[in-house]
Amino acid sequence: MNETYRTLRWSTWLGWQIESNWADIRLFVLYLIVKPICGSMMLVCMFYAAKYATAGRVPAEFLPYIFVSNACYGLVGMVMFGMSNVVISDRESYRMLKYVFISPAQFQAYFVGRGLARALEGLLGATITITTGLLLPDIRAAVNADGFDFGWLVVFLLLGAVMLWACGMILASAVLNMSRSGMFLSEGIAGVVYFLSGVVFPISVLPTGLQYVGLSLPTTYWLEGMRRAITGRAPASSPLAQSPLAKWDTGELALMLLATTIVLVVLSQLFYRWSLRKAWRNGKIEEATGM
Amino acid sequence: MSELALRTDALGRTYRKARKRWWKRTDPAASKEFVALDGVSLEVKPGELFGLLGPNGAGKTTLIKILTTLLAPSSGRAWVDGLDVVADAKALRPFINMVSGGESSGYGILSVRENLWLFSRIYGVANAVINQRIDAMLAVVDLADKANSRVSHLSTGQRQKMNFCRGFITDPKVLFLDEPTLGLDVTAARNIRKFVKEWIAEKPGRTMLLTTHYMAEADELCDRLAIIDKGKLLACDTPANLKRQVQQHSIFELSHTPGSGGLIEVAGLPGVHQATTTETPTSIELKVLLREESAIGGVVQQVVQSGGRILTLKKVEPTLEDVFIELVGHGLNA
Ligand SMILES: Nc1ncnc2c1ncn2[C@@H]1O[C@H](COP(=O)(O)OP(=O)(O)O)[C@@H](O)[C@H]1O
Ligand SMILES: [Mg+2]
Repeated sequence: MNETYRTLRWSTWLGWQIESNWADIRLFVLYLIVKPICGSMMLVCMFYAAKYATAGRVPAEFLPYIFVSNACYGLVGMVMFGMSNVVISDRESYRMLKYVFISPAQFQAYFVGRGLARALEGLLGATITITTGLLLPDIRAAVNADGFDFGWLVVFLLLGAVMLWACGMILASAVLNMSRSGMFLSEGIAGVVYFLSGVVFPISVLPTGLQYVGLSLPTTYWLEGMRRAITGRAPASSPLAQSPLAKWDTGELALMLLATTIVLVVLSQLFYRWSLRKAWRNGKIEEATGM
Repeated sequence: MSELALRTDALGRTYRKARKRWWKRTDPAASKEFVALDGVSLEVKPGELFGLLGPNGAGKTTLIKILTTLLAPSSGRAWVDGLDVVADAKALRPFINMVSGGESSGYGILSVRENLWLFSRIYGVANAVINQRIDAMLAVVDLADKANSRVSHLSTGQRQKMNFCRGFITDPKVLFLDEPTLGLDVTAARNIRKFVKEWIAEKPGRTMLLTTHYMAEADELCDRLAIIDKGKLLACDTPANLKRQVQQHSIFELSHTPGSGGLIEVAGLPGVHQATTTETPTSIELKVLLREESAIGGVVQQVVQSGGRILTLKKVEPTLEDVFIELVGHGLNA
């Protein structure tokens, strides 16, 4: 425990040095502000395009829905990419992974610390994006201002952190036994999860089979929880209320997030142990795979 | 057993080459298993500076990886400081460290000092002594002026020197150095060799396993050394004892111009125990181990008769290279 805490401390420090050491502030702005805002603005424009095409029949509450969940999802992608990229960058370019592995450091805490630095960056990006969105009159008007709930926001952020840890460890573990091309894995998985967890549409839109897959992912509950905490619930008359989750109250949502997260944590730990052992057997921890 | 710093018992390691993939056609020869270590048994006492000598691909790095808990052995067992490298890996890690030469590792974004500081923290070195240790080590490798430079601005050799410091800064009980002087300039290599000897003598109970493919380095540094080739342990003794094995022979080095009919064959001549030739752009270097000294007459005659012109001829003392040739049947760099 003591060793875990110590490793967590220095690896978060290291992660922050690596993440924040932007040689060029313009790149930093581009990456952390321009890119996420552009991604969200694209959705905003699609919303307006749909609205005009249907002569205004797209309900206004769709706008904050897609805007907030897309911003929050950025955090998921960032942590998954960040933690799996630790394996690749440390093994292939810094060539330090083997030295960390044979040191007394707690190896998993090393990934978590590095991921934590990433998560802080992602949180900053999401906050900036959402704040920018609130400057748009349409979004501000559509947000149910009374709906903002700081208490639930904290609950969902904390549960979300545990969920992100599990997601990140699954990706990092998989990449341990892959070559440099493992870089693309996190992008691919992030895309699939984006599709299945109702980021830009309620999952009721999906075919029934896929709805069940979506309902087994903690990200689905997390995003719904984050949306409710930030923008309040969609009105009962809205098509958004067709979503299977709309009938759940927020407490049930949090419990379901907790339950699915626990399952994911157990799976990620089993997978991590299995992967690490396999990598140690096959000499993948130190192998610079090149390519 | 616990009084040994290192022990391996019939240690083996097999690498599986390229796994079969259904979407890719694989060459059946390439998917065969490769034996990198074959039943290696070794014992090293605390306080020893023990060398592993062998050509590229002999299995030296593989052995170090297993002993440092980085890689699983395929067969046999190994203990470091009395702890099993598989079962007790966690307990062992605080007491060991490793440096691989010839590679440029380090977090590029951090300075040299920060990199070393980070590793001291990982091993729990007390804050009060960290900076003093870092300064002392940087002075050894002549890198003090780069202490605050970003690692990404260093040359490969400078990074390697920093990596060397990283190994010592945690004050390990057993230290593994894998070709520490590979690619370094002569002065730096000499300083490192000097420091290695001082380090081991400074505190009793420190043990070092060093691999090299430089014969002279092994001869100068090691209390005892093991010669390995193709994963097999061929001999293990002090450098002096190993050289005694070939002392019964007279050794001559003869340099000559190429003969008219290509390479000159002397190995079959009476009294010649072994002969190795190395071609340089301008001459051919011939080294012969003779059962009796008088056999040199026949060798000289053979060279002259084949149209070669003798440039130099001298009698030499046996080196580890000769031991190696005797054991392996070819030179280290052949
Ligand atoms: N990951 C690996 N996969 C397959 N073969 C390997 C791997 N690592 C090393 N080898 C092979 O094992 C042999 C021993 O390698 P190594 O221990 O690095 O030798 P040395 O350090 O003595 O030069 C070499 O022939 C090398 O090609
Ligand atoms: Mg090697």
